[in-house]
Amino acid sequence: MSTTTDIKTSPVETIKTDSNYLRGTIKEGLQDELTGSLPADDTQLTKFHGIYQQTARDLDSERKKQKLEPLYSFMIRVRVPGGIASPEQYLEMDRLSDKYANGTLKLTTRQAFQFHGVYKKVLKQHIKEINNTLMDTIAACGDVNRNVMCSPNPEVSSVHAEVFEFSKTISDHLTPNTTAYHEIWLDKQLVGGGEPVEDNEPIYGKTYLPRKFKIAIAVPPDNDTDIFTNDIGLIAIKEKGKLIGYNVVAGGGMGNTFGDERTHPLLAHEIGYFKKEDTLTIIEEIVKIQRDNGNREDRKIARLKYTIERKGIDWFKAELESRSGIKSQPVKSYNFTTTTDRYGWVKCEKSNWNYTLFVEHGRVKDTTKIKMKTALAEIAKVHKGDFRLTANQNIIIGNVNASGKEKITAILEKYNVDAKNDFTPIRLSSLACVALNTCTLAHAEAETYLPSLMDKFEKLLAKHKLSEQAITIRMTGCPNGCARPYNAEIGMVGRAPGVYNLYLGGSHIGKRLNVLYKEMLHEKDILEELDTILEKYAKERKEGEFFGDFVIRKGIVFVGEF
Amino acid sequence: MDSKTILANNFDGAQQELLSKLLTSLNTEQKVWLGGYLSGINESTGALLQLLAQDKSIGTLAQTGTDAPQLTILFGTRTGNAQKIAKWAQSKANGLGVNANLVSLNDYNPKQIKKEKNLIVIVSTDGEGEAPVSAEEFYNYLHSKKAPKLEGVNYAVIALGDSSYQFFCKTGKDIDEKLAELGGERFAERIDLDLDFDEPSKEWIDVNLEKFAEENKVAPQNGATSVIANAQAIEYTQESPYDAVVLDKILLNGRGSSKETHHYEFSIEDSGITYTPGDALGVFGFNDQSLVNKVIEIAKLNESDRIMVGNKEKTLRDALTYNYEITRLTPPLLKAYAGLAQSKKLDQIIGDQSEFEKYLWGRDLIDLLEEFPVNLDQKLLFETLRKLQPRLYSIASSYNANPDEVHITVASVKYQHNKRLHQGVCSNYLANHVDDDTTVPIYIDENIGFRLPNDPSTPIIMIGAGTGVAPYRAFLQERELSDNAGKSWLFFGERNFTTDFMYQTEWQKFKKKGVLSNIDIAFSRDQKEKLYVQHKLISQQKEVFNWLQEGAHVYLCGDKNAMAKDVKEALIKVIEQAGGYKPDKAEEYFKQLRKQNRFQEDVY
Repeated sequence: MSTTTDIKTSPVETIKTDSNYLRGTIKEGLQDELTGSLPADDTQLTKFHGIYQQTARDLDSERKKQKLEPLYSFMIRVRVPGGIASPEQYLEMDRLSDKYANGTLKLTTRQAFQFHGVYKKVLKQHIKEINNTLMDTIAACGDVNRNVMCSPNPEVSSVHAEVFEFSKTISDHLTPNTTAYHEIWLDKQLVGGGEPVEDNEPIYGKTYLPRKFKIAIAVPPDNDTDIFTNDIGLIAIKEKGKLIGYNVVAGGGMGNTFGDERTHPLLAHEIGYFKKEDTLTIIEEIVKIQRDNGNREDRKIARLKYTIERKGIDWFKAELESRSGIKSQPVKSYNFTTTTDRYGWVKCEKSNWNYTLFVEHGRVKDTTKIKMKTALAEIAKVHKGDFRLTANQNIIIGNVNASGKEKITAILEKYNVDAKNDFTPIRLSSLACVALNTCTLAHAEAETYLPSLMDKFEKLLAKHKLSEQAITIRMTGCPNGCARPYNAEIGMVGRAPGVYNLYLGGSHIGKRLNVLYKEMLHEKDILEELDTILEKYAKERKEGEFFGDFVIRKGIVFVGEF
Repeated sequence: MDSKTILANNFDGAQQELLSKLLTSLNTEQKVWLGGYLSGINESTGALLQLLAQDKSIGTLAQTGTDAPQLTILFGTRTGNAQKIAKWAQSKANGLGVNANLVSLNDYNPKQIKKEKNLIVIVSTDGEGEAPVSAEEFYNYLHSKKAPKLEGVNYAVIALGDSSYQFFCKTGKDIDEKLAELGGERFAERIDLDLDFDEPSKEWIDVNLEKFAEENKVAPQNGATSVIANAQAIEYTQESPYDAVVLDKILLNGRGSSKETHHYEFSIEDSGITYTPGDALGVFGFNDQSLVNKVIEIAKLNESDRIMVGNKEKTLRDALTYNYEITRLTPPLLKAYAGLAQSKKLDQIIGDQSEFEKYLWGRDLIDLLEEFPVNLDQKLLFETLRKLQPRLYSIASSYNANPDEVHITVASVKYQHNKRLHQGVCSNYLANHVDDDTTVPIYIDENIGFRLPNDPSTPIIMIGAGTGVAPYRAFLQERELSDNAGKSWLFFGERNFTTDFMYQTEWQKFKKKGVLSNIDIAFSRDQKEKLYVQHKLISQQKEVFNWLQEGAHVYLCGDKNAMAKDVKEALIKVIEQAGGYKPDKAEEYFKQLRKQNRFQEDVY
């Protein structure tokens, strides 16, 4: 492996190198009572521990005048490999959100739990208690492999169970080895007592990866995990109802930087089919190829997608073959039909039931009308199956037997939480990231704004008699694309508060990126533009034609080369 | 023995030289102080005392000849008010040809008292009727078995207090009675002064010292003018405050705070006003119109009646707004009111000490008028209402760092009582009626009892809760200007970290620059168990004790009832536990800190 010390590396690379395997001065920073923040360099390292430092951004200037520092708090991301948690674990998440965070739980687009608004004073205790639930936050963020996503795919449980186990195997295999996490957050001493043992990272090395790394698994016909937006995507291939292997795709990613033409979202390339027993090796070798070849000078062009773009897909395939010693086979055929979830009760194998609950933009909270947070906690107390987080920020109450189904239905009714809550298909297909007010990267709102914009979209659709049409709509506060906006039929990416770029023409099943339609639009402009296009769509669409396909066919946007 | 012999017999050559130099460099006040200090240490300093005794300048201030009558003016103070009055008295006396020495009770050897011919004791009373720390030793000596007979000692007492407290002027009253009991003879009747002491104290001084001079047959000197006339020459005082423009008003509490604390910056540009870290700012506030309306309504007063306030005629409404205290009850008011009310219940309250105190707490005039309705005698009401006093706020800025400004930190006093919001006069006047460019009458209230060490390299430990942190901002601004400032340690307490960490970014800058060495913070409401500054002191006891051993000065500022007592106990505990002292020795250690002015407090 190389640590590329002979070239000018990015500042984050230096921080990683000097951090002694992700320690930095986090421990000391936690002790400093004078500030609610951690030292700037350490905030790069805490990401590897699943922790982002944030501020209440709308208060920054007001507090500065008040001679108070920004209102710092931390976002904590809990890894949930494959997105499955036990009722006990869910109940703990619920309790911890009230005890240490802002009283809500965020279900992320990568099947993780997220806490917001955790103050430094309780950060360590919070992390400790998360670990007590046998979940953790290590490598939930940072330049390492993150939460491994897996389709919760309720209809094919037997394959799902195996795929899920594999997602855990990948997750464990790629978890950093450093003992820094245990030392800092869990007060674990290095064993041995004598000479401190030097940490060792056989896969990552001392400087880890050049940039974040994402892996997702989908089980056709569902592409709910949006695998083409990942560094590595796995498509489960079945034969006679049994899992035999995976089609591997690589080099996807959403992030880009406004005004930097070298950057753009990309969908993953199909690499080939691999037998299931070979797949872990293939994954490890792809990670290592990126470790040794990714750009460490400029983080903006450091993801695997740029490495493949720079070196070429043929080079990549050859490198993978020579490193792994495994020859790929041609991609086996597969068919995706959707990226969204199935809501409400669905009967699955073994005569059990799954219930998919729509959680708007993944925010589990109680409102005056709908007590969703209370309802889920009550369910967790009686539920014997599991909870599954979906990539669409929803939650599945999984493996419910007949008597459980009755109890759970009663609880849902009691707290005014009903299957679809009368949401329209378009709302059920919407995603938004956290954005303003807490995310430090955001230029605009997303989660806090999209619901009100959806009210207006719904009126537009009703006007054009399209209320039953599902259209994927995704909004983010910045171009990094946490809610995968470039892979939606309608994508909106924040430029400034109240101002968005509008993207159109992604495929409904997540296999084609959308295209920038117009820049710097206010709400009024967005609604006017869509009003015109939807009118056309209502009149001129072919039967069963999705909105994304329609705008391409009609030349409203042009798919060109990046 | 002449001074040379004394020197030669007791000190070596180098010491003799140093001492000669020192003695000639000292001013009279300093020599008097040194004398008191040395006699307080032990007998072996007798030689130095002898030297000082031979110094002709001591005791001959404003020398008018050897026949001039001697007058010793002793003062015991916490806030500096008694010292202020003592200075006026000294200047009046000297002007009259009286030989007046000014000595702080903190430095005075009580055994001296039997040798005094003429004595004025000016002493304040602390909250629950105790003597101020500086007068403690003197007070205890007089009340001990060792107290001497005082035949032939002429004396007078000026007592200071606050009539809203039950034990008004108790220390002065006790001393006055004790001196008489021991055989002393009053040359003037004691005066008990309330917060509005300026005028009455000057009047007392003028009348009684002129009588004293006459009785002692001294011819008045040129320039012997009345103290009142003299005082008016000083520019900005409580009587003639400066109208300062508000430059900035900042709410220091973040959103969601349970408190409301404002930072005010006033312009003193071109006013000639100066101040020293530790001083307070006197600020005049006015009563809220809604309260005034209610008083007029309930008491069935006529708002346009003309009232004499001092020598000015005003409408009753204006008088209630600008001149009288209606947000607090005082014992004299309650007693006078009881006479009118003829209520068994009220009489019972007044008859029972603890009931009386309980009743006074938190109630205002409206509560009293509502609970015990009477046909109010307007004249009697205005005779018993206390004059509205300016409020004193510890200054939060250093003059040297901000020569054109003075800053204060003001927490709004608000509480519910009898289902009605009660608000402090001044804090809410400032919070609700003052904004940028408003003019507010202010004056500097000197506080010599709260001063940075003369030597800036001396370590300082600053303990403050709430707005008690204000003077430390001034301290650090001042030390930031010094080249050789020593280490400093701030202990700060408030409710919540995210909203109530007053001046947080400034402490961060001080810390970064090294002006502030250590900071320990206690936020009482951020966890289940209440956490206060005293707990932080205990948890840092080893280091705190080391600093004490290194000569650190310790400061305490903030709420008297909620914090001061606990902090002092904690400090004694620190000395006991970290220093390995037995409880009584630890207390003695702490007492010595006070005596050496190394423990100073500004509590309210």
